[in-house]
Amino acid sequence: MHDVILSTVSTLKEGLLSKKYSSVELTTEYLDRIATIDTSTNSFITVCEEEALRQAARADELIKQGKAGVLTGIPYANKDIFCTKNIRTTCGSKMLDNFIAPYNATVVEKCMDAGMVMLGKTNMDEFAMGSSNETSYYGRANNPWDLTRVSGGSSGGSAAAIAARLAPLATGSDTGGSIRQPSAFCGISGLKPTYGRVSRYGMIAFGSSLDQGGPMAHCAEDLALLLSVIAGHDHKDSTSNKRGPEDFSRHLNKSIKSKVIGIPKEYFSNNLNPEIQIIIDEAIKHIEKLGAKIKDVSLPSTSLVVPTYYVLASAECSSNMSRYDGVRFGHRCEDPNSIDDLYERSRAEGFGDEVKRRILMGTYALSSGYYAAYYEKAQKIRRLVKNDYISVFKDVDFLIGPTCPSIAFHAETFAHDPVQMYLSDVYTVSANLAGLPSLSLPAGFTQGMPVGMQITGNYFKESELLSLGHAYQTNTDWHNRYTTEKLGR
Amino acid sequence: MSISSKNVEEMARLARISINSKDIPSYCEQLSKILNFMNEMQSIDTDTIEPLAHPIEEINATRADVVTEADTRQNAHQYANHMLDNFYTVPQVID
Repeated sequence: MHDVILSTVSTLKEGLLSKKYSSVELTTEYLDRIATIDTSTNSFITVCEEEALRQAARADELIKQGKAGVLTGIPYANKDIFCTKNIRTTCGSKMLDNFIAPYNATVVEKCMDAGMVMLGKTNMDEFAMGSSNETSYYGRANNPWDLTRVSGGSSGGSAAAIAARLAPLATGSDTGGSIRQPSAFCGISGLKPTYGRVSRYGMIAFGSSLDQGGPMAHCAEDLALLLSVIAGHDHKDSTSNKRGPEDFSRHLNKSIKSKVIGIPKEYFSNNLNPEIQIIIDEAIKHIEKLGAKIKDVSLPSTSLVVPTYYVLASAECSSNMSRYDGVRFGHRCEDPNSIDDLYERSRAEGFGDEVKRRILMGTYALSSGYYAAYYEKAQKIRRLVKNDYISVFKDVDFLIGPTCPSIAFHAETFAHDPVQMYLSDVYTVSANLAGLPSLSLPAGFTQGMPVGMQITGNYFKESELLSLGHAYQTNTDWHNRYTTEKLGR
Repeated sequence: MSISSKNVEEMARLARISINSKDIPSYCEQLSKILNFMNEMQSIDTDTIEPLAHPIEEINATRADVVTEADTRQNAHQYANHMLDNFYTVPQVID
């Protein structure tokens, strides 16, 4: 049974259909691993043993009746940003430590309809604001490759869970790199879809024009399976794209011959760790050998994307966070003496430092007198960033570069310097500003730590991105490396 | 440019977050650093550029204003901690 944890989802599926093992047995294997290993990784905030075993038994019944779908009976880990009915949803915050949603997020509903088994809710930076998982109220999720290093953020719990083989699939959300950066840090594969591809209904809002849910897994092939389940139009999300469901596995084996890959020169500047540069150069050569053409391109607005992103994300955050007032749900301070005291102390006690910093900065950027210089200015640069991509995608099919400028850093490296932490998002935030799909894949190792390659595609080209990822992974084995011996099992 | 203690107090008031006065100097320092970093945006001229509020311009699909589900009030109140007769309770607002 132990070897199943190294399998692809397709192999797990075959095992379930051929009755080699049941979903209850498979789920039990993962729950046992979580009980043993997650004391080191801290990748789950809530583990749902009873509910998972109930869902697994239901899946076994569907399999027995011949009614199984592609992912029926397959366990997954759910980022604690997606609301789950009757199971608490904390979003990594003390503010929501006692919050039980009265409904399921559409992503959760779709996974349930597919007969999937939710193992638990994964750790994350508080309200998805962070790049290291260190802002979580529940302590950071550690990197399974080196427990003294961070798992990344904000979907660090999901990435650590996949890397430690505590789940074969996970959900994540990506506002400025929150799927891709932890995927790169933990040596797994993660996809941020096109804005609007996956419903945001029930995914707790941070920056509403930037937030996008997506799949995390060992490989592109598995990402395609989960994306096929969670993507599609949702009338409950007013920004959901009208496209219907799609089978993202259908074109996985499509040839990448004659595809043109753009290499943005701004991504290979002096700020990039030279060891990472060597690994990404090697990966690009590999893709060239598979038949793709390589072309140098330029994204001139790159130097401004991080400040622009932080103005917009903080502004949207300050607006979204205003719903946490201590009245209807969430943390409420003791013995408030007035309504203002109730608001002010509940919010002061319920939010952590980074969330407060962003609310204050966002309030500043939106306030009278500063709006034009910050918020509107950032919106104008956002147009330039989008125009850069529109222009470059006239000549190329994909853009490739590193996902992050460094490997996973040690915990508390940026504890007193938020700006340095923000700068580590330099390669990821622009896909959110422009709303484009972007994939991170493991591409090598340095100092024993994984390095991620980022591939960005044009709007709604997830299928093509995944086929390029699959072609690369069919010819390399970085995605098959695992760390279990370091975790004692 | 820097953020003064007056700025911090005003932002905290607008955002309804109480801030301990001993923490104000560190907020001033950190938020000033963030503001200076954000000011890198001022290095380019954007006078002729239209702001972009949203990445995908086909947004805000609305539906007909008809009731689609039964009253879910009970459901929403189920886990609320401060309720009296189906109302949320707060400190007295009107004297």
